[in-house]
Amino acid sequence: MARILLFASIKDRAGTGRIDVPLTAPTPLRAVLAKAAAAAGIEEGILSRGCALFAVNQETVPLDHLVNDGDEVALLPPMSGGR
Amino acid sequence: MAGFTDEQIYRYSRHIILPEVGGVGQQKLLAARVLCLGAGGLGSPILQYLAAAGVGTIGVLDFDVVDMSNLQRQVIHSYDRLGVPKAESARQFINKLNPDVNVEVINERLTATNVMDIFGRYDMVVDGSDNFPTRYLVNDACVMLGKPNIHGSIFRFDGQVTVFKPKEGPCYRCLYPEPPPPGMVPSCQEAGVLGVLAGVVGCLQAVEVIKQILGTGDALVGKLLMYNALKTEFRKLNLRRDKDCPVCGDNPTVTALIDYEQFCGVGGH
Repeated sequence: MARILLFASIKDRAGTGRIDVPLTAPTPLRAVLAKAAAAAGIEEGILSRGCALFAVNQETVPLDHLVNDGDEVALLPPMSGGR
Repeated sequence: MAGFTDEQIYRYSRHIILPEVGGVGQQKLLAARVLCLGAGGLGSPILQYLAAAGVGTIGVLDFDVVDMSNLQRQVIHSYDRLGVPKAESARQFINKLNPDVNVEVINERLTATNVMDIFGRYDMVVDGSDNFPTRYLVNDACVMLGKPNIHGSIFRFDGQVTVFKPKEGPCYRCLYPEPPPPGMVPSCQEAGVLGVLAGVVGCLQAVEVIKQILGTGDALVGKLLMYNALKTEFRKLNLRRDKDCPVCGDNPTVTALIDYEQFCGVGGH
């Protein structure tokens, strides 16, 4: 199981702060996000558009990074604050 | 102690007795020149604590005026200063707290035309601004000028803080190479924000500014500190500089400031 954690405006748009994704083999992050969107019943673009910062186990990674069972994946969108 | 008045020794005594600060550190604070972008939600705690710490010169850049809805979180302003330019209101607050501080009021909108000149006058920039075009403008100017950029941002109950330090860590574009499509990230006015969250994040920024000035502690360079107020969770992510970053990478392609409103797809902000 990979734990996908959503923050800020992505959490708002997805309607949830956490999605668990079962993994049987190391999987590219891009594909994990697609599985996460399907598991949560949301449009896949919500997780990958709007330029989130992706971090696996507290390290930032690109979208082709291989995610393993037990990994924590954080999606952090930019925030500007203000007004 | 050389270089201090008796009043300063007394005022800053709680700093001076700290081994990591001492008289030497307090002198560094008094000699420092820090530019604070925004005298709003993040700017308020930043300005409060930098002024209290005796940062000798603080530039306050804000072109807005104090509004009632600000008072939910912008704690350096006051009910009797509604309608006053925020940078001026900030100056009044700081002068009452610490007359050692020389406040430079910059009652202007930051643009590609004035940024290099303004930033050039300070040692570092602490960013409490409230829109994406400014974030990118600030980033690019700081990279080009080699100035540390102490970044903070908030959304509802989530906040983040990091220090973008040229040559030592990533820049904002390494994290977010493209701005979000317009409308994808609501502002505080649209989405709301827990007022005190601005206090927490702004204070964390002020800590990083002080550590940069003193040259002590572990700076949040190459690290993003995330805070969620509802879950009371702190998280630290390790960031990497992007070697191919168009602004701070090994072969930069953006070597001059651009039109940031256009870059962010917003017209006439």
